[in-house]
Amino acid sequence: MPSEITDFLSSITLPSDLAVPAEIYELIAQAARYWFLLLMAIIVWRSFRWYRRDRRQAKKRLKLLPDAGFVGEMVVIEGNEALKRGQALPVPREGTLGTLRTNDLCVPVEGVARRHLWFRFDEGEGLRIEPMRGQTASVDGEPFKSRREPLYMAHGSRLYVGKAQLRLRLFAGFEGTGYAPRRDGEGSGSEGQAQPPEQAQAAAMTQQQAMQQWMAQQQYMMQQQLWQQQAYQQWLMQQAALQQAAGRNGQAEEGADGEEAEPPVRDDSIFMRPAGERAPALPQEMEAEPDEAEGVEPSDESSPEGGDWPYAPSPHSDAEWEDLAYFGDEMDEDLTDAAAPPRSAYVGHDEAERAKRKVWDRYFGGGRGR
Amino acid sequence: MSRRSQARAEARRAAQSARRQRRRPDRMLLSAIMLFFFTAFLLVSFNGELEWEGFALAVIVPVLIRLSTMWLPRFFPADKLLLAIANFLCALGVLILYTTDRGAGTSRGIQQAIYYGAGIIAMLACIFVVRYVRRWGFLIKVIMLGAAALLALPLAIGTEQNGATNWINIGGTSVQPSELVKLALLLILSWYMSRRRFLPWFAFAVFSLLVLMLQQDLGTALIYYATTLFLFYASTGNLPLTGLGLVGAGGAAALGYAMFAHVKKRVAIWRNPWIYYETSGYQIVQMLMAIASGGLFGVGLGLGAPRVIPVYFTDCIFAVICEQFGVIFGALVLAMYVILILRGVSIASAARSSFHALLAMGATVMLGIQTFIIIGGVLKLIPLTGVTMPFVSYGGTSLVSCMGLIGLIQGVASVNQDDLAYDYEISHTLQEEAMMPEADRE
Amino acid sequence: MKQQKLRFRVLAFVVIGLLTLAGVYGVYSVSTYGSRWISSTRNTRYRSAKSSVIPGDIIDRRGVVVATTDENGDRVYQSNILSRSSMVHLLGDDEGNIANGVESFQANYLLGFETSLTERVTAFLSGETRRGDNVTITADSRLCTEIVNIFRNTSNLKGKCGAVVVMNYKTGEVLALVSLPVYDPQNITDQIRNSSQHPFWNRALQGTLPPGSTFKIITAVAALENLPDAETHVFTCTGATQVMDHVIHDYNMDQHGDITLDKAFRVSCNNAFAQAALMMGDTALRRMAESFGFNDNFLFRDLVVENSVYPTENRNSFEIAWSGAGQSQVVATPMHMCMVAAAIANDGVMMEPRLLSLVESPTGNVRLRYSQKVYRTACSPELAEIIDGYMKDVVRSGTGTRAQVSGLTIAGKTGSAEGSDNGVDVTHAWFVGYIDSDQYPYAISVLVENGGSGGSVAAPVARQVFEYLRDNLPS
Repeated sequence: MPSEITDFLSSITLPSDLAVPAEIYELIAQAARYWFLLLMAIIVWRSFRWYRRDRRQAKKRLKLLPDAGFVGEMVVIEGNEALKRGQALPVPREGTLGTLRTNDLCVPVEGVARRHLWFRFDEGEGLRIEPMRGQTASVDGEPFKSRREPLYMAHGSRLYVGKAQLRLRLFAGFEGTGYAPRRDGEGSGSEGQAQPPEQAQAAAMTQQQAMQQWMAQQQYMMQQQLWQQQAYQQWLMQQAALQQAAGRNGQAEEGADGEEAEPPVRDDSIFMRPAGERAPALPQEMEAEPDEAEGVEPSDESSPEGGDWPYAPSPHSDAEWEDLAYFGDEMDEDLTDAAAPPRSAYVGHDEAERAKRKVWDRYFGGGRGR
Repeated sequence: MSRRSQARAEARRAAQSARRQRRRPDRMLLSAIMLFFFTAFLLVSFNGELEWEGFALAVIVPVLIRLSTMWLPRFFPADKLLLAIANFLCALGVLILYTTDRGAGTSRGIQQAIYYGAGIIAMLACIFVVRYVRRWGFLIKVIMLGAAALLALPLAIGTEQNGATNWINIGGTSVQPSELVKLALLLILSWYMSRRRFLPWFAFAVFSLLVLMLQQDLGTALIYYATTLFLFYASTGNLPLTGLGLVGAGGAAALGYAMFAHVKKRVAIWRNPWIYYETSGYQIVQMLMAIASGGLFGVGLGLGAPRVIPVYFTDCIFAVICEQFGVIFGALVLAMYVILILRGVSIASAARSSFHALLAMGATVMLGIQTFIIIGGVLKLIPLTGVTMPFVSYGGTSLVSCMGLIGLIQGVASVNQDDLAYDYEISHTLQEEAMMPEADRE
Repeated sequence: MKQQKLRFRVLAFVVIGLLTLAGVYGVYSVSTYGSRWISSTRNTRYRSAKSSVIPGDIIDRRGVVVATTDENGDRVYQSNILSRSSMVHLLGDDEGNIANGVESFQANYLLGFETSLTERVTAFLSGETRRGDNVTITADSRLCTEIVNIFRNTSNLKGKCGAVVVMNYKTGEVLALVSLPVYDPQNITDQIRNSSQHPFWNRALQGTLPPGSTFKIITAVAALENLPDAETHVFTCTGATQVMDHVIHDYNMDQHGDITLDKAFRVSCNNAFAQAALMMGDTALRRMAESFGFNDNFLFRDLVVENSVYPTENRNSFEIAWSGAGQSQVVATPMHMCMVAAAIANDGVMMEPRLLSLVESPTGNVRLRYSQKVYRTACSPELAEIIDGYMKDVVRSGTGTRAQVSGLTIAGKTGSAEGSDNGVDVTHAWFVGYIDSDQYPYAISVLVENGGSGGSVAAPVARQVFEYLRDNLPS
């Protein structure tokens, strides 16, 4: 096939009087060497910068979306001084558990090997557990027998490795895997773990109930945030008043209340963030930003704008949330089920699909022209 | 909210997006690549008699690069940098082949351009396979059987080329199955390694190595072996066994050196090619002279005497690049491969599942090893074994398989992007909800 | 996954390391060996360039044009047949029969490959055919002619193969480099092509032969450095020392009785040096030989010299003993032995041999100017001083008396190296030496293949060359 095409193409000829003499071609080609080298250097340099920039952004993203890529978390029910009760270890989709720090789940507890077991999240099945050669583990009292009969952990399942006991809370794929089977009062391996009534209740809670509870928490948090902001505004106003009183001119005041009203600019294109820009600030700081740059283009590299990075309170990054979720009075015993709904619960499937499209469009230029 | 501040926010947003538009990283890179090939093809078409193919390529190649780098990713989230690098290297191959065509009466450049199109299609196919296949467990078994059959096929109906029986003729075109089986090998290795099942991948690797040995395709066997070993290390971290593998390879090499006369001869040529100039050292001596003649800046595109090197269009194409453009340019081409590998590794590291991570890493390592084997051979760092230079060498099968490897990496990159978009949107929704009451208040 | 990512990093490091290694090796090997690869006679690129460029002239140190291009585009050498024949190995011929002569090794200058783009454009606009650069070399064509004459006119040298190298030991300039037999570059007959003496073979640079007793210079330096009582130790020469069932004997089976190192050096006693080599051991001797450039990869800028070898494998006492006398697979080129003598003359400092003194474009742009460079420090000045005395004794009253020149102090060392030529035992005559004078800082190395005794065959050649240098001081 290619030969037919090329035969056809080569049958067409061009006038030969346009041809360049060999000496002139030689001169041009030798001059062009430097041009090609320059272009090549630019190509390599730009490619490398692109690579570097993307890596930096990936790191930044990791900071801002700390629970990205995790399917759930293991909450420590029994541990030791190094691994305290109530601590949550994020669980990635696949990984290893052991005492080494390089493990995805680092469980430095007696009876756990350096690399103890290997886990993988199977869609619709749960978290598959497979101990390494010579190691043992059990899930909800059921010990591992052989690779042919894999152990699966569901939402709320308990994992026993060495002297540690961990309980799984899933964010993703929650619907497919269901809950761990309710335990009856007698308990399995661990002694003295009489089931409090709240937990039994919680385990039976439906997804909707979980959702409602979570929404209530959100409401509470937002209320708190609002209070904080109001207090801050008041403080700003006081400051302005103080300045006025001190005999300054009124511009400060204008700057203060004019800017505060402005909602933060939402910025979706995190992937397009120019290199070298500062990590984005939180919305509150945005409002405090002075506005002398009015009319002037903000200087590019050091500009702190775009600070409204999509940011959510995360169980792993926000101490306040953590306190609320895990160490609140009413959730003393039950560490898993009711504290937060699975992540997938508040983004429906269609919604997620739409969201994905939107992000692709931004990132990959799909929507740029439209 | 006052009107003034609204307008100010609007202006700021516009300025921001304009600046981003300007600073999009791909702009300058793509422009430089397109300019490079436009001027290069234009220059070459004035070398000797005018041929309109040169002018056609001067337009088609940059447009193809632009389209496949900027337009393809509108349909699925691919990695543009990876695409740009692969496109650049492919187009460089077309350029070099077209340059050596001038005055020789061959039309490898045009054919390579057609193969390049086929390669892009292969890449798309691989991306779609990685993205949309759900039941891998079943598919891998099918692939394994098919690949084993395909690999063994040349033993039955193969034709011999350059001492290796690794080609088959299908409907007038020759195909090198071992190149296509590379993709299958990666899928099989990464699937079974991520499932922690030793036997299936080990059996397949041993089988393919044996078949390649029977076909006397040493270069490809080396690539297969090194990729398998590296992936084994990556998936298990078992240093003793990996070391044993390395020692075993060294032992096998020593055994081959002791047992086979042609291996001995090859090593002798590598150590001093000049005394074998009249016979088997001719190729490497010609390559070395070509590279040295190019010097730092090269002799100039279309000048020099690249065609005195045997197989200048496949194995030795790096020597031609160095002769025409110079050693500095050659080193920069090597740097492009390095960036490609770096990118591949970051894609592999970002993958959420072990299968995808191993797949992307395997493809990256395979490309890297192949590049090292051929460039090391051309530069007389290691004995020359006949493998192609990824993306650049002439040959449809090789180009298709290399673009397939890029497709596998791209597929993983797109899956990564999907996952990321999902996480991103979740946190976004959270934030939106958190912001809502405040906004309503205003 | 976390661990896997760490391993990915390791793998990336390995693969990128390999690629970087390839790149670094490529740049390194092209920058070190590139000029040697290009100048290979097998490279067709230069030959094709000759069609569009007029090669530049080659001029010797007296300003004599020794190679130029005539109106027909043919390469012509000096008009006198003897003169042009005597320079043939230094320059090479038009056909490229000589490996790495100036014609091929400096082809990038002669064929204008170093011409800048602007020069090219001006040449193109002026409509002239492009000319390559002119190369001025440090050699003296009259001295070369004289050397060939000496070989022609001496009865016991007629028809012999050999080589003579003369260099300035203070600067490293090569004044003469002659390999015999010579041939006429403008009339290459089939007889020359098929000659069993291989006239195309440049014996001065490429011919590695056992240096024989001339190697005792190095053995003596090693002994003085490694044996504390070397100068007073009394060796016993019975004419035959038994080592491992083999016998070390002297040339002509001489017996020297009890002798010290300086006397042994003067009479060239193999037994004494064999004993010295055994006393200090192989490592000490090899270190000193390597300090004089043996086993090194010679990468001189202007000359391609075959590497000299001090063997490192299959060493037993017999081999070590013979190595002390410069036999037993110790091989060196006349060029390198000249450098050894030059190092002794120059207080132990070995200069890099240089052949180019100036490269100039036709329009007068200087591309390269001669610069001297130290190749390596071979030994300490004190040891060089002692050996200098020994070598003067050799010429005054030892084996090299026939190298005496009236009015000059000559130092030297003879050698009669035993080798085999197609299974027949032959004796190669060597003489290395120098004039101890600030006015005439010249070192010489003479080799006559299958010539017999160094003292009687090679030393007279050196004498005649020294006399010529005394009478016709090169500028």
